[in-house]
Amino acid sequence: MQSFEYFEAQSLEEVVEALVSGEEVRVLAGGCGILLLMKQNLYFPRALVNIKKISGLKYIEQDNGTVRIGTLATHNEVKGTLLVAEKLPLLSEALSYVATNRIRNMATIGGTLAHADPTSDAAPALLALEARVVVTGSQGEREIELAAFFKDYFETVLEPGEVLKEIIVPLPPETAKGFYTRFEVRKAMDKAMPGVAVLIDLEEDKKTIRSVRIGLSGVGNCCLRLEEAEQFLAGKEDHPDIRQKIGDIVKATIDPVEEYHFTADYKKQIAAVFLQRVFAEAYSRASSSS
Amino acid sequence: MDQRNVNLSINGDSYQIAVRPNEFLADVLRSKLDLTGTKTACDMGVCGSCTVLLDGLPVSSCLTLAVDAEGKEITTIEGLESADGELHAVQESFLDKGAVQCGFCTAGMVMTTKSFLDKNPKPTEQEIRQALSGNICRCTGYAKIVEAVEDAAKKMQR
Repeated sequence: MQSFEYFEAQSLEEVVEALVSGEEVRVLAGGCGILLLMKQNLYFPRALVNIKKISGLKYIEQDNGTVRIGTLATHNEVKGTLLVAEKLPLLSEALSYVATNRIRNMATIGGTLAHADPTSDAAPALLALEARVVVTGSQGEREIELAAFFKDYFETVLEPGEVLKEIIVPLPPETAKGFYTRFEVRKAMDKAMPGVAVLIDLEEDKKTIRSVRIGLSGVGNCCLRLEEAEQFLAGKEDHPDIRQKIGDIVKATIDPVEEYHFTADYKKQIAAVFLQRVFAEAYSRASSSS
Repeated sequence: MDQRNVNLSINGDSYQIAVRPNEFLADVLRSKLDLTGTKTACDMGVCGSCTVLLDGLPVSSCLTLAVDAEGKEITTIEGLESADGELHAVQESFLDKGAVQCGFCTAGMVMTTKSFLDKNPKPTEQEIRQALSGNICRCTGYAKIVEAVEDAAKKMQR
């Protein structure tokens, strides 16, 4: 593979130091994104800072109404933690779709968000859960709403010299239920097109939508939250007309690229169908929960 | 690029070698340590033929930097047979059931199966297919492979 300068950081301060030391210095965590791009000669960073030897960045813990996840926790570590399985089943469900078991043992949760693959499975679930990321840089720490974190195709709002340190996921109300699925033609190594996560909380009547959050991937340059549909659904009950309407909203919101096998119109159509299906399943889970 | 000295623990043996930071574990195993049982096919983390276990968990060694494997217990296909040369139950079953055609995917299939059965000793066929879904056999001999995993599960319970 191509050559690069290589640093091994022992602390996040050392990472920041390395990142501001010059142009095109990139963070290496699980490596499943960046090394793959480098192997294929699609990307040529000057230097990599390996953060995997920094201790204390793998935690998954409950804290004050949130779950805090250290950036280096792998997909399987997050998915397999009882805390996540019980309190954030939507996230567990989404992570089980990612690539293969091997990659889930390697790829980190912080890495996958910073990589900003628009076909992510993790991102839609974390968007629906209203996650925030904590980044640290030479100017100190800041928190960013995940919905404002993705900027463009494989691009985030991370400034040069910033590294993703932690993901904070607010615990949804116990009554809220979610569902994630994606259109896929294979069981392993497929890409979401789309991936849809919906989290619904119903009023006491088990019919009226108190709040709903929708995360979407695979049908545009970034993963996104579908706020227009969320606002439309609030206060309503499930009905074929409202399913039709959220399908229309998603078609009007996304801007997918044309590919050889899939036209942009087809992608819009399938995004609408999957949003309607995932909404229906999440709604049914929420209305049948005790 | 400067070489770095790393201490790799592979199949219970310790290897002191110099590697460059851009060298992947799969290539180091094959070219520097002569452990050629591990294959590389797609070389992109997709096909599963380079599967090795790091601390018991399957990973793609074609995407794992050798410098990152330091400090972990690496198990390759060469590490499955016992000291007196007796094959592991999974290897026996792959032979008995004819689950090998060209053989290129086999090491990865066996390593994936080994780690899977360690965790799930009584799997259903559905679970076996799910567990092997990330390992590709281009001879498409999946039926025999699934049979071999079922057989290995039975053998390992005895």
